[in-house]
Amino acid sequence: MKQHLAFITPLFFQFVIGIDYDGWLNVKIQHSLNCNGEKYCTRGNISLKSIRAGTSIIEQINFNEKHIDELKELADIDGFYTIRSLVTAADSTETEFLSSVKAKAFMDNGLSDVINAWVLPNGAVIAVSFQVNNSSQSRIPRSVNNDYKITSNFYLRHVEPAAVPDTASYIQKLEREREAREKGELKDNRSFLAKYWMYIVPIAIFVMISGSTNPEPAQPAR
Amino acid sequence: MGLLSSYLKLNFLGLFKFLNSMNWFIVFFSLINLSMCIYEDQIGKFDWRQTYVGRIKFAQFDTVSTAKKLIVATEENVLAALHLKTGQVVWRHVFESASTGNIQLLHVSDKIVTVSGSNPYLVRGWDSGTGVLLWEWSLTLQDNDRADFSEWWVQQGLLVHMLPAFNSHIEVTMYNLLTGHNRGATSKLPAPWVNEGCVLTPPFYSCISGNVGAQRLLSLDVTSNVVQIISKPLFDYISLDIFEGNLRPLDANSAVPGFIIDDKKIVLIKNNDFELLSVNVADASASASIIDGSNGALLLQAWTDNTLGFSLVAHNVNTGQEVSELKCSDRNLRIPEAEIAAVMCTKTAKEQHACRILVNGADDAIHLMQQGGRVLWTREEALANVVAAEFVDLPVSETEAAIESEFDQKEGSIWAAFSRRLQTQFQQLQTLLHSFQHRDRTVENSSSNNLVRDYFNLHKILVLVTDVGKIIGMDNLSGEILWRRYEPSLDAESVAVFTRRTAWHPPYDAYLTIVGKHEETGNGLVISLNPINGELVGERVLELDARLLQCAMLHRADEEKLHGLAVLYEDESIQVFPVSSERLVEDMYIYVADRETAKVQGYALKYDGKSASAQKIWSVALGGAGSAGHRIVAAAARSRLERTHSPGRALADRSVLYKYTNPNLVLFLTEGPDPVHKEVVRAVAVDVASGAVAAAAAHRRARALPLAVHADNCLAYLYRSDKHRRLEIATMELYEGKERWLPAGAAFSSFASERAPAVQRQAYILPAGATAAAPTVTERSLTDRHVLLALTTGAIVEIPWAFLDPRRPAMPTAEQREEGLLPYAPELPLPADAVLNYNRTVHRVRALYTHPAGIESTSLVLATGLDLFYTRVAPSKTFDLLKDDFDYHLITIVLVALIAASYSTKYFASRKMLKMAWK
Repeated sequence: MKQHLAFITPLFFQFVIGIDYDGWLNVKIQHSLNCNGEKYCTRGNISLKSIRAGTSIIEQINFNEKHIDELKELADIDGFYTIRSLVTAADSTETEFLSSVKAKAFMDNGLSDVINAWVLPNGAVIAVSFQVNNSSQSRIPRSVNNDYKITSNFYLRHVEPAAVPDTASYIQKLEREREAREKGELKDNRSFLAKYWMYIVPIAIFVMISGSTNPEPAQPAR
Repeated sequence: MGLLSSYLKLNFLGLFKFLNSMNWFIVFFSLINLSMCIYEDQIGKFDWRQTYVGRIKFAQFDTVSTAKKLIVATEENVLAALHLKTGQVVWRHVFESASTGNIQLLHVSDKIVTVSGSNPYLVRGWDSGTGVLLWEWSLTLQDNDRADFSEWWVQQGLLVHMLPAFNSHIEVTMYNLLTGHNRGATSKLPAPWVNEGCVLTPPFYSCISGNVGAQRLLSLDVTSNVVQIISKPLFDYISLDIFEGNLRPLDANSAVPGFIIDDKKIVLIKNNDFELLSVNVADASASASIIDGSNGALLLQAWTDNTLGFSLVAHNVNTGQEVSELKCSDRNLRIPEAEIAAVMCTKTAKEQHACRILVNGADDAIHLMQQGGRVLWTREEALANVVAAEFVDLPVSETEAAIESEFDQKEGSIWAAFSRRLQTQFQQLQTLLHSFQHRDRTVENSSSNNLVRDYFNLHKILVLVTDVGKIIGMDNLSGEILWRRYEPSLDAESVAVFTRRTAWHPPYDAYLTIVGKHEETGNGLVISLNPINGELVGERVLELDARLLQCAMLHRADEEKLHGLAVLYEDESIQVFPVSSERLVEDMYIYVADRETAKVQGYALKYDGKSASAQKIWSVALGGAGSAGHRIVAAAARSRLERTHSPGRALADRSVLYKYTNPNLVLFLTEGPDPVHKEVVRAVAVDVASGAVAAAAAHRRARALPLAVHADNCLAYLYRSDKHRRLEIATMELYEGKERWLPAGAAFSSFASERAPAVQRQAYILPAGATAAAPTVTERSLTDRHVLLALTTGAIVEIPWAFLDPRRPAMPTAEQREEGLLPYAPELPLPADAVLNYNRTVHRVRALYTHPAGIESTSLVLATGLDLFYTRVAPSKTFDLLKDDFDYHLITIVLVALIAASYSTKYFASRKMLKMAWK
C-alpha cells in the first residue's frame, strides 16, 4: 500500500505544478543534414526541469565532415539550414516548429546560434526560433578530431501579461492634487523675474521698439 | 505637432499654472493644437459622403404623399425613401445588422409598415414623408423552430401572418395593424399538399403537389373564411414531360396574384380560378409583373440577354396585344439578371402610359426607368459592401511625360544630351501651338482629359472591389463613378488588390490586379485591369487551376516596370505572372496564417535558374501547443507605402532613442479560451521573413476586436475587457535602445539580427465602440502619426499618437515634459472637434483606407461601410500648403505698392538731396 502511495505522490505534485504554470519542457532539435535519406534527423535536445526557473540543459551532436560538406553546399546556393523542433511539455502533446537560418551565416559564425523559445503564461510554447549571431568578423568552424562543435545559446522568453489601464494610480494622483489645493496654494519660491518674465519681456520689447521708432530729430540743415 | 510648438505650448502653460491643476490644461491646450477642425465654409470642400442602402429586398412607390418617393427595404436592414427624380436618399433608417434587424415585410399605403427581426418580430409604422416612427408593437411566435418559414402581408388594415407546416396544415393569424390586437384565434387550415416549393401570392398560397405524372396545381385563399381550394391538374397548363417542378411568383407586388410555372407559362388567379395567360414568358430568365394599365391589366416582362442586352416588353393581359410605347430593347444597357422590383403607371391625357419601372440587377445596382427604357437614375448599391479599396495615382499629362522622358535618359555624350534637349523643346513648342489651335475642342472633352495628376498628387482614382463582384473606379475628389465592371465569378470574400504598375512610367499604362476566389470552384481568380479606364489588360480574367494559399507582388519590376504576381497554391507550388518575371524572384518571403488554427507558416521563394519554388522555412503556433480554439482575429502589417525617414526619437537630454524599424514585422492578434482566465487575447509581433517573435503580450479575461494598427515601430490594437466591461486600446512601441544596432544607412536584414527589441507598453480606455482603425500615412512619414478610429456612433475620430504613446509617464519629470510627453491619463479623450466627418454620420464603417498624398503634410482617407466617406487629413496641419483662403490679390497689391512706393521715395529723396545741395 505504501508503495502505491509513493507512486501517486509525484503525479499529484506534477498536476499541481501544471496549474501553477510551471512544469518541464523538452525540445527535440532535428535538422536535415547528413540524414541518410530521411527528411529530418536528430541534432540535439534541450530539456528544462522547470519553465519558471528557466535553466536548460542543451545536448547537441558534433558535426562531422559530412555535415559540413552539406552545409557548404547549402551555403553555395545561399540556401536555408532548416531546423525542426519538437516540443513536449507536461500537459501537451508534441508540437512541431520550424525555423531556418541562412546556411552561409551559420557557417561564418562558427556554427553558433541563438535559440529563442516563447512561452505563454500557461506554459505552452508558441514559437521556437533559431537565429544567427550577428557578428561582423567571420569565424570559420574549427574542428577537433574532425568534430565540429555547435554552440547554442538558449533563451526562454515569456509572453508577459500586458499592461492594463492604470486607473487606480491616476485617481490617487488626482486625489493628491486636490488635497494639495485644499491645503493651500503651493508655495512658489521662484524669483520675481522667473515668475513674471513672460510679462516683462514683451513690455521691454515694446518699449525698445517704440523707442527706436522715435529717432532723434534730424540736424537742422544748413 | 513638431517639437518646437510643443515646447512653446508648455511655456505658455506655465502662465496658467496658478489657475488650475496642470493636467487639464495640458489636455485642453494640446487638443487645441492637435485637432484638425474645419471652418463652416469648408464643409464638403475636401470631403464627400455617399449614402447607400444596400441590395434592394423590397421596393414600393409611395403614391399617396405629395412628394413622390420610392420606399425601399434592403438586405442590409435599411429602410429608406429615395427621391423619385434624383434617386437620392430622402430619409433612411439603419436597423441592427444582426438578424434582429432583418426586414421581413414592407407595406406602403398611406403609412409605411415594416415587420423586422426574427422572432420576436417588431411591427412598426412609419410616416412616409418624414420617416418618423408612428407606432410599434412586438410579436413573439410560440414555435421558434418554424418561425423562419413565416410569411407576412397586409390586407385590409390587418397584418396577416401565415406559417405553413409542410405536408400538414397552414396556420393563419391576423392582427390589428396599429395595435397588434389579435382578431380571434389562429386558424389552422388543413393542407396536406403543402411542400417546400410552394409560393405565396397574397392572399393565395399555391403549390404543385402529387405524384410524378399526376401533379396538381393547388391554390388556397388563406384569408377567406370559407376554405376554398382551387385544384387543377397541372397538364392543363404545361406539358408534364419536360416539367421540372419550378414555381415562382410574379415580381414587384403584382396587381393580380399569379405565378410562373417552370419559367414558361404564366398563370393568374382570378375569381377563385386559374387563368392561363395567352402570352408566354419571353425569356427563361424574364422577370414578370402585372400592373393596372389604362385599358385593363398589363403584363410587363424584363430580361437581359447576353447579346441583345436589356429588353422590356408589355402585353395587354386580356387581348394579348403588345403595348408598343412601353417596349424597350437596349444593347448597351447591361443589367445582369434583371428583375422588376417595383412598377408605377399613370395615364396621361392621350391614353398613353407613363410608367416608372424600378429594375434591380444581380450586381446590386438599381435603375429607375421610364416607359421606353430611358434610365432616369442608377444607384450602385454594391458600394454598400466594399471589401477592398486601393488608391491609384493618375498618369501625368503628355507634356509632362515628355519632360520626364527627357530627363530619364542619363547616358550619352554632352552633344547627344544637347540635341535631345533641342528636340524635346521643339516638340513642346509644337504641342503648345497645337493646344492653342485646338483650345475650343479641348474644353469640350475636358471631362475625359482632366484625369491627369495634379501638382500635389491629391487627385487619384479609387478602385473599389465590392462583395457582389463589381469593381468600380471612382474619382477621389468628386466621388463620381468613372468606370464599373461586373465580374459575377469573383468571390470577393478575401480579396487582395495589387497596383502592379503605377502610372508613373509612361508610356506604360497603370496595371492593377485583383486576386480572389472563383465563385463556384473556389480556385484562384486573377483579374487584371487598367485602373484609369477599367479595361482589362494582361492576364485579363484568369481562372487558376487550384486553390490559393497566398499571393504577393514581386518587389522587383521587369523592363516594362511591371511587378510580377506570385501565387502560392495549396500544394505549396509557386506560379508567377507573367512567366517572364519568374527570374526576378529573389529574396522573397511570404507567410500564410491560418485563421482558425492560429498557425503561421513562412515560405522563402527562390528561382533556381529554371523555375521558381517555395520552401517552407518556419512555422509557429500562436495559439500555443495543444490549446485548441485559438484563432487569429487580425494581422496588421506596415503599409507598403510607408517609408521611415527618422531613425529615432530625440530625448530631452539630447540623446536619441533609436526605433526598431523592421519592415517585415507583422502584428497578429489572437483570441481563445483559457481554463483559468475564461478568454484571453494575445498580441504577437512576428518577423514574417525569419519567423522570429519580436514582442508578445497576453491579456486576461478579454476578447479581441479585429482592429489592429501597425505603423513604423508603433503597434496598437483593441480588445474588449470582460473584467471591466469596456473597450481598451493597447499600444506598443519597439526600440533598439540608445545605441544603434546597425550603422546608419545599413539595410536591415531579418536573418542577421538575433537581438530582441525593447518594448514599451501601455493601455488606455476607449470610451466608445470602434468598428475600424487605420493609421495615417504620409509620403515620408515625417509628419506626426494619427490613428483614425471609426466609432459605432458613426463618427470617425482622429487620435494623435501622442495620446496613445506608451511612454506617457504618470508623473512627468521636467525632462519628459520638455520632450513633449503628455502625462498619463487612463481614458482617451474623444473631443467633438477631432471628428473628421463632423455631423455627417457614416453608418457601419467596415474599413478605413489611408494613402499618402504628394505633399508630406496630407494623408487621404476613405471610409467604407454602408456609406462611403472620403476626406483628407493633415496630422501636423498643412505646413507645406498655403491656407485655403489665402489672399493672393492682397499680397500682390501690397507688393506692387511697396515697390512703387520705394521707387517713388527714391526719386523724391534724390530731388530733395539735389535741392539741399543747391542751397
